[in-house]
Amino acid sequence: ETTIVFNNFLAPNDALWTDVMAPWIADIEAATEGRVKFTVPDSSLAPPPELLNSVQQGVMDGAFSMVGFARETNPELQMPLLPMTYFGDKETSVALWRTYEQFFKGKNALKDVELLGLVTTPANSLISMDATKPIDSLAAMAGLKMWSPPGIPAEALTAAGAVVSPGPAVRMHEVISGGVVDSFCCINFESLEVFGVIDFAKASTEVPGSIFAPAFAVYVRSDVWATISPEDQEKIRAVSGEALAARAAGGDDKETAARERALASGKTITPASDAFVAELTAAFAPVKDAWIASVQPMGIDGTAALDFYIAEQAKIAEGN
Amino acid sequence: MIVSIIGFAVMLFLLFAGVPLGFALMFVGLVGFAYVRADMVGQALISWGEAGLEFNMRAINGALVMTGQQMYDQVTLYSFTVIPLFILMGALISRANLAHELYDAANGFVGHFRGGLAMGTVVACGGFGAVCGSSLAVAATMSRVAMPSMRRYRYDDGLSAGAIAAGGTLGIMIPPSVPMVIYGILAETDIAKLFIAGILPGILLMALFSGAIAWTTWRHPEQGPPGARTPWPQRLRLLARVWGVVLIFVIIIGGIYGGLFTPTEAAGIGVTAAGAFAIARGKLSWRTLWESLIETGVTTGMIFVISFGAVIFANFVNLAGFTGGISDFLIGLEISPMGIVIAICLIYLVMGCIFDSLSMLILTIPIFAAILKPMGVDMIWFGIVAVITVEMGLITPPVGLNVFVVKATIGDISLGTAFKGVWPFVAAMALGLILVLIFPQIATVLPGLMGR
Amino acid sequence: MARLWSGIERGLELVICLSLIAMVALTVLDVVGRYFFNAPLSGGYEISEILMGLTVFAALPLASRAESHLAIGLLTDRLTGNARRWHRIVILVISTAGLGFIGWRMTVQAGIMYSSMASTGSLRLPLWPVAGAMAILGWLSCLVTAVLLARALAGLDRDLHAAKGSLE
Ligand code: NA
Ligand code: NA
Repeated sequence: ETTIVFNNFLAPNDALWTDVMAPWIADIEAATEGRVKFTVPDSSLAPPPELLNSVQQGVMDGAFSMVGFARETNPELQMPLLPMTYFGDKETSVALWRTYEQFFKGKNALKDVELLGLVTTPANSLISMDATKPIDSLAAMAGLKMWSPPGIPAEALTAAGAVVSPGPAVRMHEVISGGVVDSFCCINFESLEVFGVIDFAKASTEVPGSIFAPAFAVYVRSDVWATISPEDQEKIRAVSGEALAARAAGGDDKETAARERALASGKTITPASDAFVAELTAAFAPVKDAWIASVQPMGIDGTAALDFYIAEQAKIAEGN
Repeated sequence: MIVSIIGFAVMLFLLFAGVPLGFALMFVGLVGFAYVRADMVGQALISWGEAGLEFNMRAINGALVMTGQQMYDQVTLYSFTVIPLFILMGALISRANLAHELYDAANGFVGHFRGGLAMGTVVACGGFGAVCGSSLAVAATMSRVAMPSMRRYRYDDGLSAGAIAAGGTLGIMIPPSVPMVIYGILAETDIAKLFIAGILPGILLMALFSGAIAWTTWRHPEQGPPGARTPWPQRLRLLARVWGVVLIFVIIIGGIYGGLFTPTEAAGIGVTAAGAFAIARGKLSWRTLWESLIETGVTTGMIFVISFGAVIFANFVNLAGFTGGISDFLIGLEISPMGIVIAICLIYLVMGCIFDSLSMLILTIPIFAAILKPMGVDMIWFGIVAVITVEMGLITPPVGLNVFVVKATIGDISLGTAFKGVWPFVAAMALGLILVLIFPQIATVLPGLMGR
Repeated sequence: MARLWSGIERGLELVICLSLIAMVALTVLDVVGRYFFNAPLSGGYEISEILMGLTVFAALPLASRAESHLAIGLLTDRLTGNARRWHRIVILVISTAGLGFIGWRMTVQAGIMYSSMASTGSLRLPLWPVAGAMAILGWLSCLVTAVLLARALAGLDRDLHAAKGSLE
């Protein structure tokens, strides 16, 4: 029998927890007929950037955390954070796991942990806080004061000419509600409701593939994993990986509902024009190239992986 | 649950034995976390094996790493960067001689009433509180400024000490306020709204304190004889001299309210404004700047040692299921959210006899926020309720830091006299708390107008 | 000994002063840059975070020297004579252990951050040197308290009370 102390850093009613992680835990407990059990502390035992370290060091036995925090050690896992690569929650999550298995696995494993899954959550694009000034061209982005999550999205938006004040979510609330920025990026409508800043999202511009989707890695400590019998390990793998990724499908429904509520309350949401999309594609090219270069040292063909990731999403959307 | 209660008991024992709060929390939290960590996966922390005593190294290492991570995270937490800045602003303002002018202006208007000099003290405390985020700084500064003139007019020492100690609490009720920042961070609540929410309750408390003084001097006229009447032209001249305080307050609060900058940035701007003001008045030498900075650094350091301990201890009781247990218990009582808030106030009143305001907030807010938020309690309103309640702890015996500060600054007054003089103000504050509980609008109307 | 300590003290005070001034300057430059030059200090807040950490840890040895860690003296303030002396010694032992613990854990934390290449999200500044500096300052505080303890055991400073600071 193995008990896994599994960390949840999200609020207990967060969709990623209730719809993806909690059912996955139930799947494992059912599949192993109770031989593998989970206990989840009431609140997070470590700050989000330290979760991977915490599992490696035994503060807890398992956790899920944003892949962005592993940027320096695992550049390959940053792929889903690249702009214009998100085409639906289930599609992206499943394609991400397939890309991992085909291109990344064995090249640069996370230290001392067993990776059991990768999931994304719904993305978003460019949001203006002024109803009369939607962000509809590169010219409109030039010098625009904007909040975004730190790291790849902030770098991409800076490359597109915005004046980015990046920061953690607490800073997002502060700079948006305080009116310090004129626009923000990347947080899906449902999360904007949770963070209490949805009313500032006056005019959104949706870019195909979005600007940024958060992605999470799910893992347990290697030595705890080793205490599980090989048969049970197989059973766990069967409900993890692609099966876990497929659970992300629900994310889109909730996000669609939140988006509808935004529309119903008079906010505008417009698709980016072809011209703007072309401008953004060109502006973001250096960021994608930098990622491709960053994974080359570990023998990963970044161009092929990225192409596969996008193509696979299209395939999954068609039902494969 | 039982483990948590043992943990609390050990912690209280260490505390009363005089062990510094931060270290007591840290050690109890560490051992408790290791124990629960082992217990959770069905293991013992220490067992008797073939080779003698065996330690569960995985649980112990987990607990040790947790403490290191939490300490590092606390001192580099973005939200906390506002704390040293607001402390520094207060330190600079204390040295800019503003308090004298505030006191003179306040007395120009109310000094000639019975008990007027004490009322003037309270009003000046409120004005000083508008540019200073700490109640101890307000109490210490006003002791120096107001005590000599109240003695000149033969005011009762108890009344004077009570007015200063109680007035000092306005420092954290009227924005800016360091405890409100800490509350906002721990309860994940909008600090800007909390600041704005504190304005009306601060004014209410100022009025209630003046009422307490009026009542005391009505019963005992000899305790607060009237001062000299100031002619109107002179009053206006005195009032005009406090423009610096008004300007700094308007910059900070107006900037936050108007969305020019965030509370964090307001702190940095406030420091700059306070420094510029002190320089303009010839009160800021390299020496005083250096002293202000060191004082700020050491105070910040002390706050963080407590917060290290508190977060480690909180992680222990969280893992031990205490938070969940307490919230199940409170929900099981099947009383209204209001009943639970009142229960929490009673807990604070008891804790306030011993703990200081910041330690209390750091220890309890994560637990109480987790209980109250899901019930839909307005966390801005609860923040104001919590700040008023912990403020009472600052002036109640046996440990009332504001009263200690007044005694330390004045010197020749007994603690007994000071605490006796404080009771009318404790009653006034209790009345203020009840009013805010019954009429939440006192706290919520202004932030509601912010329209965001 | 006294000269060595006063040199260290000046150094720590300098770290505190420069860090706090830099925190103020970064904030003001960010606001001014944003409104007047359309160029905020992107990621400047990450430097502020680090500076705050340095301020806190540079203040630790000073607070330790002044024995001003916050404690509740409700019951123990009344101790006199030998009881007071031994009480102070016990508290110094606990404080030395506590500060040594902080120094030790920050040392380990620096190691973990080095091996996981932890860095800030925007500016990608490596974090292990920050934790390393904190470790050194933690150990220094431990040493300061250990010296106070040695003096107390040698029968010096008999009149002093154990730690009792005040907050806010
Ligand atoms: Na204040
Ligand atoms: Na008290």
